[in-house]
Amino acid sequence: MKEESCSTCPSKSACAGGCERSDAEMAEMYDLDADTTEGHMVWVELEHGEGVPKVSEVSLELLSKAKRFGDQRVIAVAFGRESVREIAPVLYSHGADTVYHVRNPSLIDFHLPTFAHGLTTVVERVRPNTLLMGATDLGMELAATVAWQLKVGLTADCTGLDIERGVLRMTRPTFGGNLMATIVSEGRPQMATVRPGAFPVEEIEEGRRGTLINWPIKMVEGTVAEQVSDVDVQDCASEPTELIISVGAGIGNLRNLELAKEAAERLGAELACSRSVVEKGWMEQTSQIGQTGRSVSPRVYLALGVSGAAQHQVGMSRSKNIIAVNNDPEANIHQIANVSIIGDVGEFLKRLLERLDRLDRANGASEA
Amino acid sequence: MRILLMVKQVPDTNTNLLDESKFSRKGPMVLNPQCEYALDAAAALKGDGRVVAFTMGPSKARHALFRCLELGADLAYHLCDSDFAGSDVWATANTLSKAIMEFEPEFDIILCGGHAADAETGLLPTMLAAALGIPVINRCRGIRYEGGSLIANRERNGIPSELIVPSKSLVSMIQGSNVHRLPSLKDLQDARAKQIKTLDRGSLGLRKDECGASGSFTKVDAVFAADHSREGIELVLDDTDTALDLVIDVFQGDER
Ligand SMILES: Cc1cc2nc3c(=O)[nH]c(=O)nc-3n(C[C@H](O)[C@H](O)[C@H](O)COP(=O)(O)OP(=O)(O)OC[C@H]3O[C@@H](n4cnc5c(N)ncnc54)[C@H](O)[C@@H]3O)c2cc1C
Repeated sequence: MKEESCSTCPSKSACAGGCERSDAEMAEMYDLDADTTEGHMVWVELEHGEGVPKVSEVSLELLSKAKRFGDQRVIAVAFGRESVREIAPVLYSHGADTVYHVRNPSLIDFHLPTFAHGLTTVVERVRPNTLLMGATDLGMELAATVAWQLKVGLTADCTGLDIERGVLRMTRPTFGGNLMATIVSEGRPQMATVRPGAFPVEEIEEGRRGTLINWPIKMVEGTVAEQVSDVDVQDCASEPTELIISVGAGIGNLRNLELAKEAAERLGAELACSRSVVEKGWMEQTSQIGQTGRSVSPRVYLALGVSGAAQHQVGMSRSKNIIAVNNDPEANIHQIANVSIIGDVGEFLKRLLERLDRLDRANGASEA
Repeated sequence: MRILLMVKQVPDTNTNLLDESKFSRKGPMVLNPQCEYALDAAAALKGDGRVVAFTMGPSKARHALFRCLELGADLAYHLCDSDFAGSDVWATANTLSKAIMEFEPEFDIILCGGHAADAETGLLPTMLAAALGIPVINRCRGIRYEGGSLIANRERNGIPSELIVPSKSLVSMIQGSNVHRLPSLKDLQDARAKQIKTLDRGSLGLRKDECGASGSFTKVDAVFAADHSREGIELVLDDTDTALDLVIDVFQGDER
């Protein structure tokens, strides 16, 4: 038997075939399983209109969250034409250390094959530890396509993220919001889509600097559906709302719904609803809050006649102030409310509007 | 029109019969509500074509296929093997795409529901399309023939648009018409003559580590009951002034 020299262990004896070290020990010694990926990457969703594109709120939330992980650098990836450069300072101030500007002169609208290809090439270059994006309509499509191409796991709709020694623990509601599951992913990057509003934007550092990297790509040929009519489709989630009045089945009738609309208008709030109200055909599905609707975290969420089902809570439990009006003291919504008002919704609205009238009159009088 | 229909059997989440310690699938099962929309669209578009339904799941998931056969599908495939258990979305897309390529590669459109009511990731349609290398249109509220083309109504980011569906695409539905149709007596009788073919891992030519839990990249680490409760103040509406003052204050910017 030929004697092979082996540098893997201090023992000087020939080891061919007779090495007592286990694979696991060897792996540990050489750190063969060590994760060599580094950095938290965030796909930046942009709204392209006239002039400088606008960064979606959820992308800023994710940059800020990734920075607060505090362990690795933060890389933002933004797609678009020249004007994307101008948003880099916003990305730095929210936590990005590096911005990859994936560019092509014809890159404006979301084009799934090109975006997926572009993002995959940046991931392959940078080899980040995590890849995060908003659980928006576009983010979900991009994430699913990229995860398939990279052959890595993907966890959707996360509401909680923790990092422990490079391992991302992703928590998401499941089974209709009744249960929460914490998921870990094999392979790198660890991919997650995250619910808008799940994390606050914190510690904005104006004037913070970073590095901008140009990343030109070719448009990928690939069929996408063409639009029939020429209505311009804006490819970005709408503005987050600060004030929401949400109506549930307890609103009872269309007359009360009108009162709620009026109150919302006068308080400058958006009117939203539970699924029951959509099912009744009283409001559009786009106004639905919850697991199969939108997820919001306004400063004030006034719930009128909403029972607070788990599926509804998933979409609003992160609101700063929750005020619940419900005549059933046992309703679930009261448990998560800062202010619980036990009473009839119609009566509440009537008096609220009267009160607003009085305030208006008082203001009018003092101005006169 | 040759239509493939991807469906899922899910626990009836309205009944809340959940075992908090694990993803229990006890309790009543139903065809996933958004798959009902896809089934409905398939039946409406079929014409003199053919609808083939697929599902992956344990043996009782056959019930989802019965419903498809009663309401318009002509043939069904049941991907059923204990090696498929524990599939995450990647493994599911992989397994379904293999079945399609192997057994029904000639199709005009694939229809499915946008979200499953249980796991609710909403990722499968896009990932399956990626696996098959075909275009995807998600978030459809309706689909119809018009002037020789197939037109889908998509609502993305809250904005509706009408799209021409390219041939050989995957379309996922988030809304539809005519849900919870009841099959007629004739539908039930016709369904009896239809076939459900069972496909296991071997028939798809998949290795054990290419499907199920071992072909998945994500692992569930912990499951716990959701708890969003917070401390609060409780008022009765009789105490109108306090209540209203408070509401208006909070709206105007006072933190509570
Ligand atoms: C898979 C799945 C997904 C779902 N997704 C969502 C979702 O995204 N969003 C969502 O909202 N739901 C969702 N649901 C439905 C959810 O389970 C509840 O059924 C729904 O939220 C209930 O709506 P609600 O609170 O308006 O109605 P109800 O539960 O009927 O509650 C009405 C409330 O109004 C109160 N009330 C009645 N009359 C009055 C009065 N005169 N004055 C004051 N209070 C009154 C009652 O005490 C009651 O608490 C989902 C369900 C499933 C299975």
